[in-house]
Amino acid sequence: MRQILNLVLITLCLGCAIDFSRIAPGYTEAFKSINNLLFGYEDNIISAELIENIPYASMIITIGKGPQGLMILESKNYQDNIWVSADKVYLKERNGRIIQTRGLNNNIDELIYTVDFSDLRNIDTTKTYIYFKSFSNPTLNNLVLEAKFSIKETKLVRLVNQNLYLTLVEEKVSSKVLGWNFVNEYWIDENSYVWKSSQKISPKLPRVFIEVTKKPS
Amino acid sequence: MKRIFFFSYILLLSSNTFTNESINEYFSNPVGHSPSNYGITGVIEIPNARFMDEASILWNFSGSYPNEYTSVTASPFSWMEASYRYTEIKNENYGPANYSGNQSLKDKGFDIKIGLLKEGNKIPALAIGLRDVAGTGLFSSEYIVATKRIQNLDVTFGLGWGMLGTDGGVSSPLKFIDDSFAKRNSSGFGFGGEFSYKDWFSGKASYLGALEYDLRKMGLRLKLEYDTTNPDQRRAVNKVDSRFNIGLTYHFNNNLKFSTSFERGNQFRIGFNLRGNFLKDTINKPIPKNVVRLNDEQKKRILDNNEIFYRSLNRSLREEDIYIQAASLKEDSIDLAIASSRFYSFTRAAGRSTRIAAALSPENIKKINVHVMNGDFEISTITINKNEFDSSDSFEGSNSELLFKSTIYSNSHKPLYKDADFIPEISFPEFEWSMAPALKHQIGGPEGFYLGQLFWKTDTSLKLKRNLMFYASFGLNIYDTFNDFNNPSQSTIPKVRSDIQDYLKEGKNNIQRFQFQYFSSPLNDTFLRFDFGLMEEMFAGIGGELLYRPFKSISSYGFSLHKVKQRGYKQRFSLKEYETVTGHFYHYADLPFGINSKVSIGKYLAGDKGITLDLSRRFKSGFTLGVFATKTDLSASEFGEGSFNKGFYISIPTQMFYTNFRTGNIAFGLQPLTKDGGAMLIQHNALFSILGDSNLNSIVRDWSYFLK
Repeated sequence: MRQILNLVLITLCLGCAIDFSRIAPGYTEAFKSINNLLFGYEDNIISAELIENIPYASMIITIGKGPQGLMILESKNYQDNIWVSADKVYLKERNGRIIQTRGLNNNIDELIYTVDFSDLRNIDTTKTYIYFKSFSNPTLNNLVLEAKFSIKETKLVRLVNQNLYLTLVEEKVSSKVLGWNFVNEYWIDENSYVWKSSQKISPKLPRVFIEVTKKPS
Repeated sequence: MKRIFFFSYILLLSSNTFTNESINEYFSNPVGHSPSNYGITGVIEIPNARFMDEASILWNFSGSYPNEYTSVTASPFSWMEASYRYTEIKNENYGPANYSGNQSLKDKGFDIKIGLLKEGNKIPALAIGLRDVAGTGLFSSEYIVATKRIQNLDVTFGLGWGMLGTDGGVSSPLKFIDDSFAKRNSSGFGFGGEFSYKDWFSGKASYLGALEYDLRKMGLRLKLEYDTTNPDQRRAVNKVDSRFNIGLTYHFNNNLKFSTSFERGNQFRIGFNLRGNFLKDTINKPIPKNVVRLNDEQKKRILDNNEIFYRSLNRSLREEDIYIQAASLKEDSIDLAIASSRFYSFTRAAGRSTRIAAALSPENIKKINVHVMNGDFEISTITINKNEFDSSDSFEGSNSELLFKSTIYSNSHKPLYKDADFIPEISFPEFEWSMAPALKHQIGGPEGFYLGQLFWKTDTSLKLKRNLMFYASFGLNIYDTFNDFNNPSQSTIPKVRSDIQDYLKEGKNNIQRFQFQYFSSPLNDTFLRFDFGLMEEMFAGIGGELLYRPFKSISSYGFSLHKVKQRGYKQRFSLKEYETVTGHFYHYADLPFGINSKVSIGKYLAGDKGITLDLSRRFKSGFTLGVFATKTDLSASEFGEGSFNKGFYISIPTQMFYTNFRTGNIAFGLQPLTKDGGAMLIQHNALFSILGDSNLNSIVRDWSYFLK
């Protein structure tokens, strides 16, 4: 009987030895998922050519260790740009700063501030600015945040489709209530346009990385 | 003392507190309720009136001397927690040295807590609970507790009986209801398995009290309690230096907590717990793939040559891992039969198929009929108005409107693949296989707390023609500790399950299954399965099952009958002498709140006759928590320890751990004892497991997935 069993097994293995996807498929998928969660997804290659072929303003966004995604400009209202992704995530951005989101697991409802950030290059680095930020899912209204800015070095930054000399502006933000401290980074050109940024938008979301690939006109 | 508690209560009721619970979730280490040493939400030794969120599972370890607790706690409702626990009692032996070596005593226990009142601005949360409810009685306790939040402070007070009432102080508080509450008869340590309800809430009681304070920025919860269990009086420990226990819990994140405490004034305890909430799938899954709509010229060509349409449809569906089984392009409608092993919900597979068919179909098509298949059964048909689908998909209409304007029905006896214009060619026999490492466990035996086997499992299937299958599964041993078994069955009835040690020890390299199955749906909503071969690891036989599932009803009815013979311990092709006929009538029902019931009445493997009741709650995510109990005509002494068959199970959809959709579940079930009484034949491909989640009720429940 042992021979029969072995024969069946050998026949099976020989007949199908090439198809490794059938060996522990559950474990393989689990390994992939854990790998993605721990070390991030392989970036889809969003090429300069692809961006050129899209007639709209666009930007590349990465949320935490997630895959890269392309967002296109859906509408523009004075200083506010609304960007949309293929999976229907909406971001409202003003002067490079995300002020409202929809379609994420946890969303920013509103970011209120009274300062004009359109000229980050000349921001008062001695002042402490106050923001009021509201979130949904779960609801948290008017979380008070304090922010201070510092202007760092200017260097050549390699973007997907161009190289630009950009200045790094750091924004140190803290919430006394939550004990939440973080630093946002904005790379701006000589007109204070934010081409690239790294922003922490909610305590419940990973960091968001943005790179503008085609600027709204 | 009463006066103090009375005034404390009045003070709590009168305090108008405001808590903004949602801000808690924004702290980096969100502080919440945490389990007691025993697993159910509580303080340290004593419980409180807090509960985990519904659909949670918590695994808790809490170690100290002399008691070390390991437990699994589940919350089928937001107002209910149930826990199964192993306690290692380090200062007592499991049994005589020649029976269990130097293994320490392991005690099994089952706890339950039910919420009576939700916390309000002026009233505390109120809960009632039972500890060690059907165990040996070593930790038997009952309690009524109230917990009130005041800013960052949780205040708990209540009354405890049994072990929690050891401290005394209150003389039989429920005696005014009935004299039977005056005295507690339990001697404390029995054989277990029975509900000693006559002792519940009886005898002397103690006041319970505890404070828990949250340091939310630091992720810490500080705990202080008055311990009424008095282990020195029960001679569980030699000495108690303080009746106050202090502790703290560090909330690393929503899923992992570490705890430590200083108990009885002389003993440290450490613990940690892992919690998962399975109410919703929190890992994002791929959205439907974009389908490029056909241009006018392509649509014209389709009208002339339907093959182009079928090929386009087939290719686009395959990109979603949906396999076309049959299709017919008619004047104003499309019939499409699909099968997929990717999507957990049939509704989602139907929705994605509709999206593709709508994008590829010519202008004259008004209706799309999606025939959903599971295996070779056509389980339901969803008729969608194409324009309504397009408007719902573009947010001009709603998902609910789409449901309202759709027709959902079943035509199981006339599957589309029997009469369709396009039927993909399938060359039979179709061979499938997979292999993976797997584990077998035996927990809590006298030879060792954990004995197990790591083996290589190979599953194969051969589809000889539609509805006729052959399955074979093999196990090859890699490593095991089963040679330590030395506790043969003492059962006085046919040993249909209790010889498990012999099966595990001798059948390390085994044929787990070698079976033919034939499926059929001779009448609408009526399904049949025939079985022949080595049906499971312990029995071979011949028989079948019949299921009547009225599509629009919440009830289904079934019947199974098998003539079986016991397999040899080596689990090859040899058979033992014992044979019997086993069969059951089944009634399945979808009850409110996602509760499902299954009642089975019939004859079990050992020849005993009786009834099994299975109750479970299935959440929309597919996560299921269930309990079952079997009572047969065997007397308690014939059945042996445990008195009757009972257990629980947890089933988590595999896809909740993955970044893509998957079918299948990770199931964990536990029967405290493997007994011969109330043992049922394991039926692979039980008809209700194929068809139970496909009736109208299930499709409507999952309708929100249709457009996702």
